[in-house]
Parts: sequence; structure tokens; C-alpha cells
Amino acid sequence: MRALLALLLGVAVLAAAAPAVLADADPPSDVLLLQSVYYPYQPPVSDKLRRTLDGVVAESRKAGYPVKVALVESQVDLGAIPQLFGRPAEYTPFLGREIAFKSKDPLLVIMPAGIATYNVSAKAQQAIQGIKIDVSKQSDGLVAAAIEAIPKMATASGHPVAAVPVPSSGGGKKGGGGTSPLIVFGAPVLLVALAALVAALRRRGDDEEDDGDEPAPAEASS
Amino acid sequence: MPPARGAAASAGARIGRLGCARDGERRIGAHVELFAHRHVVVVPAGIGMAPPVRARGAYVRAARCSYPVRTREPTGLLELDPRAGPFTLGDLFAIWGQPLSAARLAGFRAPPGTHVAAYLDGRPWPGDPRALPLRRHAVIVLEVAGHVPPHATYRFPSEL
Repeated sequence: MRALLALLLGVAVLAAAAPAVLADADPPSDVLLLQSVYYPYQPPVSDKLRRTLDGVVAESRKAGYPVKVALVESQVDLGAIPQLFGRPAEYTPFLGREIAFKSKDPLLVIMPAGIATYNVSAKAQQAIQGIKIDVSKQSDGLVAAAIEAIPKMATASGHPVAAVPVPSSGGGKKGGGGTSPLIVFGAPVLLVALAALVAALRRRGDDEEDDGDEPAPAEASS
Repeated sequence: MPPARGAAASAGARIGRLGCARDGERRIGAHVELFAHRHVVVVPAGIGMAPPVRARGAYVRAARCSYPVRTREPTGLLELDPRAGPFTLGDLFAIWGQPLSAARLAGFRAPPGTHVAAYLDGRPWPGDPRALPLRRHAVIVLEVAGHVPPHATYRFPSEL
């Protein structure tokens, strides 16, 4: 009887230690097979911050430190496993194993509750210990933390990457009244650049890469 | 990852009863996850979206026209136009231009003596996988050549 109880207890312990789910149906596990950063659904990340993070990730890759980044702002970002929201230390190894058949790059996961890593050296982990997440800025706060973390992780791992200042969020829109010198002197240059861009877009093939928020070729995105 | 479009969808041609049209109506969501040999098969962004498309990374943001069943992201999230429904999983694969049967799942074949396993909301679907209903918030898992415990629920974006 005691042996049976011990066996049952062992099974229960193993079951408790197992991942909550096995099927991967969390959006980051699909997206990170195709690109380096998973951005959250809502609220959308400002374009300026997105461009900055994409640039930091590209610089890190150039320096010999390719990294995958998942920014998880809400349960929606976790699809079939919303129960792991707020538990980055549990979700990160789960995600790392999901994408391991395609990528064993260092993985950085940031949630409002904290930062976790996978396939990362102890030095890199130590380097990002003090990073604070500004949860009041929601998705943009997660991106800002990633912009700060990646150069530190890369540099601590022997692949120096220069720190990049975190731009203020707000999609690059400028407030305030009056006409700035940038608009007065930059407008003609901008118009020429826009004309060149339009011409280039017309020459492009069927599948276009979009870096901005312009409307669709014909059909508005919903 | 199989390409997002076959010849018909690339041309924006009619596929069965489903046409490609300018979009603007609210859509509803369903989710499909595919596994072969116990690895995920990415359902690409841009299924049911005729070129030229506007892409951002692995996402497709807009297109010349859309079919009533489409994907804009590579996560298995389907966007359905309820005005043109009801839909089945066969409609998705027809628009995608990929085979689906008891023996075929996109580019994968079931090993001899096995078949494509289908699940709806976590429960086994005993019939033809093409007949699986694509209704609002349906959670579908298809597997070939190996088993992965299917999930039964999915947290959908609020707009779907």
C-alpha cells in the first residue's frame, strides 16, 4: 500500500512539474519562426519604437549575437495558453522549447510582470538584472525595456553592441505650435523623397514590405 | 511553410462559391493549428489575400482584395466574413491551394495505416476534416504523423 501511495505521489509530482500544455498555439511561437521580434496585439507599438528595436536586433545580429524577442502585453498574446501571462519565468523556457527545432538563438521575453531569458549566459542574465519596465506605457514600455536589454546582453556575451537611446513613444508625431525649422527646410527634401518613394513602390512586385502605416494598395486593412 | 496562395487566389479568381472582394466589414475569428511529425506547420499570413499585398515582416496588412476566409498573420488566426458563411475547413484549404483529406495535410502524407487527426475545440472530429465548421471562435487542430495534445480554447483578439 505504501509503495502504491509513493508511486501515486511520484506521478502527481511529475504531473505538477510538467508544462501546463504541450500544443503550441501561442502567437509568439509561430511568429518567431519567421522574424526576430514578436510585437503585442494591443495596444499597438509606436512606429518609432518599433523601428528602433528592429534596428537594435539587426545590430546585435551583425555583432554575432542574434536574438529572439517576445513582447507579451496581455493574455491575447498567448493564444491557447493565457494562463502563463504574468509568469515570464515559466513561459520563456516553454517558448524556447517550442521554437528550438528552428532556432536556438538567445531568447528574451518581456511581460509587464518581468523579464526572462532562455539560451542566455549567466553574464547576460546578470547584465539585465536592473532593467525596469515602465508598465504605464503598456506595449511601448515593453519595447523600451527590450531596447535597453539587448545591447547589454550582447555586450556581456562578448559581442559588443552600442546602447541606443530609447525614443519617446507617440509614433513620431510632433506636438506643439508654430512651424519648426525642420519643417521649413526639410519639407522640400521630404517631398522629393516621397516622390521617389512613390515611384519605387510602383515598380515593386506583388509582395511589398511595409515599414509604415500607410493605407493598403486598394483595400483598407480592418 | 507552404506558400500563402495558389494560382486562383493569386489571380483573385472565384474559388467555388467564394469571391475576392474589397473588404471593410467586421470579421470574426477562428483558429487553426497544424502539426506534422510533431512539429508545427506554420499557416502563413496572406491566405485569401490577392496581390499586390502590403506586408510588414511576417504579417500581411492589406491586399488588392480578400476572400471571406483569410489570414493576416502567421499564427493560425483566421479572419472570417460572416456575411459569406457558413464556412468549413475545406474552404480554407481550397483558398490556400493546399490539399486536405484523411490522408493529406498540405505537403504531408499520413503514414500507411494512419490518417490526418482532426480536433474541434479539443475533441476528436471523426469525419472528413474538410467538413470541420469554421464558426466564430472555433479552435481546430490537425495532426499528421504524430500526436500533440490538442488545445481546446484560444484567447482571440477582442476585435474578432
